[in-house]
Amino acid sequence: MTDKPNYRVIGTRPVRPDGIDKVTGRAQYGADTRLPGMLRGYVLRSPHAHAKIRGIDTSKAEALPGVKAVMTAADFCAPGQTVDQLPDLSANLMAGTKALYRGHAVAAVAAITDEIARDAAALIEVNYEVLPPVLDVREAMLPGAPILHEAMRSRTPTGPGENPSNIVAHTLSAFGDADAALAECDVVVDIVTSTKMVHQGYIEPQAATATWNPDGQVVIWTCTQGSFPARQNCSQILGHPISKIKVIPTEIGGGFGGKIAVYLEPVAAVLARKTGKPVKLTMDRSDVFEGTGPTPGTSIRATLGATKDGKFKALKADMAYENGAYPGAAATYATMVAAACYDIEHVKIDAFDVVVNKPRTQDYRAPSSPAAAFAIEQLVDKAAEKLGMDPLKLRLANSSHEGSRGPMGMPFSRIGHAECVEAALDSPHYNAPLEGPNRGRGVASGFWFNVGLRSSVNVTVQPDGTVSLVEGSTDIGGTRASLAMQLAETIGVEYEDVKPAVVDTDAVGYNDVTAGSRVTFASGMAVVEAGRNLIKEMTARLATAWNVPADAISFSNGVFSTADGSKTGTFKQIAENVVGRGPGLTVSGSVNAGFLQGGGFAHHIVDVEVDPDTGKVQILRYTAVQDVGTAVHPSYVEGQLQGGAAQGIGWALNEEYYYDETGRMVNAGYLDYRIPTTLDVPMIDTILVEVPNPLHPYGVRGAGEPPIVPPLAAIANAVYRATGQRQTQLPMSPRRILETTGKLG
Amino acid sequence: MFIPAMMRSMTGGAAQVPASGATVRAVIEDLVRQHPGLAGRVVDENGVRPELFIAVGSEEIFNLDQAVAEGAEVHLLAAIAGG
Amino acid sequence: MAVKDYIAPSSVDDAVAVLSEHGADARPFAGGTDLIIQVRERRRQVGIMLDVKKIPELMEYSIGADGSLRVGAAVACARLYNDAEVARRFPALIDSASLIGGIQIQSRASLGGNLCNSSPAGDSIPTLIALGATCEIAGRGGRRTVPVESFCTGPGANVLQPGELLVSLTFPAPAANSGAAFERFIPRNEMDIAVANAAANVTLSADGATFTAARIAIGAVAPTALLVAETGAALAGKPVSADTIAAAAAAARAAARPITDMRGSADQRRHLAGVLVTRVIEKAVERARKA
Repeated sequence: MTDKPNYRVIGTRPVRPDGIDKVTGRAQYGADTRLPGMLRGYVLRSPHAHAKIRGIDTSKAEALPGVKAVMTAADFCAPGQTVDQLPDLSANLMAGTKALYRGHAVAAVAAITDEIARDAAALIEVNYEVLPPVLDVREAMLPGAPILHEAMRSRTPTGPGENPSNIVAHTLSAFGDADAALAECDVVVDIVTSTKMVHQGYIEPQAATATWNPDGQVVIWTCTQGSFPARQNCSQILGHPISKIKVIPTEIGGGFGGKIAVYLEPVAAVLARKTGKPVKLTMDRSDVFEGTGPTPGTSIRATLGATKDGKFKALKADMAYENGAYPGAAATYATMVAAACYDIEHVKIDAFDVVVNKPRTQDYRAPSSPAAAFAIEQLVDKAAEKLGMDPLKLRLANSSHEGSRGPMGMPFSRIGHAECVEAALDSPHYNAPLEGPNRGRGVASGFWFNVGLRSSVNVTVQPDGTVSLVEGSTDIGGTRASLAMQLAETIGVEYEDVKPAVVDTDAVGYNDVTAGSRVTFASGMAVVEAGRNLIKEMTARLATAWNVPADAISFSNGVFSTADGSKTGTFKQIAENVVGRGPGLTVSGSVNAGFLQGGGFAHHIVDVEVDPDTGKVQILRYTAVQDVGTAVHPSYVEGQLQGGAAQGIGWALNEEYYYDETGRMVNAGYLDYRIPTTLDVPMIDTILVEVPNPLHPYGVRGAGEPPIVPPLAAIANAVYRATGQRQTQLPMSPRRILETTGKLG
Repeated sequence: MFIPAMMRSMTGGAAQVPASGATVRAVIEDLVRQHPGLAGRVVDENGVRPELFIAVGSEEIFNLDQAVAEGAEVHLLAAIAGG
Repeated sequence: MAVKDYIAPSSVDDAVAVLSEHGADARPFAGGTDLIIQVRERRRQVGIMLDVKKIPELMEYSIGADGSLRVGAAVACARLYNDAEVARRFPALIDSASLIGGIQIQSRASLGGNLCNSSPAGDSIPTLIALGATCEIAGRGGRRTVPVESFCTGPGANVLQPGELLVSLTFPAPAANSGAAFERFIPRNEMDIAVANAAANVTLSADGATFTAARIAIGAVAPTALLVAETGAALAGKPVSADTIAAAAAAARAAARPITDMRGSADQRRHLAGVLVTRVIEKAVERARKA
């Protein structure tokens, strides 16, 4: 491992700037927006999973006292116009001619109270022609399945399909000749897996409030992961210029990818336009489950071939991913991540993106990667068993590395998968014996590519020598702290002297979404750039003040000094005494950090005990290892690893969208949609591997997404060792464990 | 030239396509000449499409006039973010 | 549509008067941990929320001279499990009272409320049945008592007539050499609803070697929690042994009439009825021998 530079601030664990507001309840979240004269909105949702909408009669609702406006999909545009940009996004916000899933919004009401809005919604008469739904990804692919979109033709490697189909796209990702190579392998293992749709399970339901002034100025308060993309989407859906829309991001109670898409924002804006008053819309938990974007259910068949010495030669897979009601690219993503941990010469993946009558899926923490790893990492486990090799040593022998071809064909830069596996091999957990009946240990690796994209920040010097850091990336994972720390490191001040703030879309340059594990990386690069610009500008002003050439002044460890050492001053002294006398000083840092960060790899170890009588899986011990590049704030990085593992434990053991045959999700609440409680998750040990990322000035890598990738397979591998029975379907609920271990006769 | 999965319907399914040119811009122009379906999908009048990134070897590049060595791999990367 | 009124009477008679006047439009609540959610989610229409927590009789509990326990219908679970004497004499009651919801819920929720909600999966009901509790019900015509195993008549349904209010539950003094226990199975370790549950109350011979009597109840495996007489009969007079307990478990499985839903399959629930009955009998025996 490369030696880590001696950082002054990076690697410490200061208190987060937003901490006090959050623990005292003062922080303003999405639903906390309150404006004078504000109305409450309510969204009416389809009770049917698949139905034509013949007509909507809103007259009774409009006549109810206290109701100020009722809207339908037609209200997004001026009469006679259609939404020409993002038609799918618009139709997902509010169904026009067809409801494609239960919970699909069909109309909305604004009224003086929430109760009246709900009562009014019940008076809206929607004339539905109910159609048979298709709920299973493989069934949806079959000829004769109910068709969601009559006009849709499959994209295939050989061109568009001829007939309507629920297959959005068949994507082929092939390197080498997998079929020929498999035929020559000494050891071939295969698996067929299926996983169910699951939700991100963020604590805070979606909420949005909008005002629409008579001059067309629109302001939207929302708990979004990306205020700039939200502004863009609202502009496109509403046909309203970006310059007239300001999005103010509130605090956000979790997102994990589920708060990238807009749902309530354009609806609130239309209702505000129609009523001339502020309108607030909030979702309850069932709206969140039924009306937002969970992650796809999947069906995967995969085959892995290796030589008798344990060298992987070929991987072949057929992966079908639900996109929910509208086209997406979940399966296409899967082709980009499925084989990333290993250096395999021959890979062939056929991926199918498929629409079904369920909510339109969205990203969820390393989207598409966990379900793929559930299949691939069990294959690796099977191969290790067949080869008689330690599953970690087998992974090490086949690990991707710098220069090996990544899953998109591009060679990896410096990555740390092998280092993670080595750290796991050396870990106290892996070296501790696991004793007792019905217990098993499982391991699995995981990958997410982590992205860069665009970020901007402004830095202003204050008269007392502190600095304000203005950023546009929503702070979900402690990024106010991690960005302030990078600025403090760069300009040589104390962390406490940097005051970070997340601002609205009018107040800072463009920022892409807080997603893809990108903010500490890419906004961090913008911060470093801004810090360097600041030092440069201060040096110029100091040159005038000291009457020396600018190049005679050096800056290091927070101190400006002339070459002869005759004049020196700390950042704070110069800021106060020199900058403070001149005009205000604000600098920016703006970056396009590219697409890829180089790749984030994780490796998890888990011990389980399975109750043979009840089928219940208890997590006894859990260790999450991850290459995090440089841990800027190690506590928050550890928190990311622990949070990802906890979500993975829930996904593995109990979470699922449970549908009845009509397409109704019958467990749309936290009573029966079982995310783990604190008593279900042991203390998750973390091992931070730091292989500095050459693409970032401080070696940072995104940390948020890789840790949700290994748990599904790691737990499945552990359950196999505990019971002798492979688990190929999720969730590994007590019921499924009893059924698959033959306990129910 | 490496084509991202979602654009392979425009290259007859091919993931790797030979193209020649002294700069990234020239290589892309050659690619589009061979596969006209890609016209406007990689670069348009304002430069590289916002949803695409380009790498030469293992390094992403932002300047279309960057030189490309003989035998170099040019990668088109379709950007997605994640969760 | 919304709740029109909140009334908090201070006597049983006043409460009965309100219930008689408004019929099904009025609904009594104690902790409100079921009812408020049902109203908020529009699963139940309620015009008048009748808060019974101001009625002293419903808020008191006491152990009688004969060792019996009388618990007002609105006494919060936490008050019972925090009482060392109740905990010592009725440990099975504490098994139930201490796992319904979390601490906040337990500080509001009552045994009476759990019973009146009449969920097939209610976590106190098998215990109330195994312990042989009787319900005291007040109505316009006076008071009547009903054995708790006859109280629930179906999911969300019970013997309370319009105008009637559950006042208290009375538990007979535990017999000598007896022990009782309750367990449930949930997919998680907390904050969950039973896939199946079971309670046992066993009386042993003085030497602890033979079952002399037993009351076994199972829940979440039928429209109401069931007193499984066959299981009790399978134990009475038999030696305390794995075979005897296995026979009782088999009788419980045979008595179960479960459904398949999102919380579990019929086969799984039937299997769990046997597993849980085995476990609660073993635990009850252990407690009986220690008593």
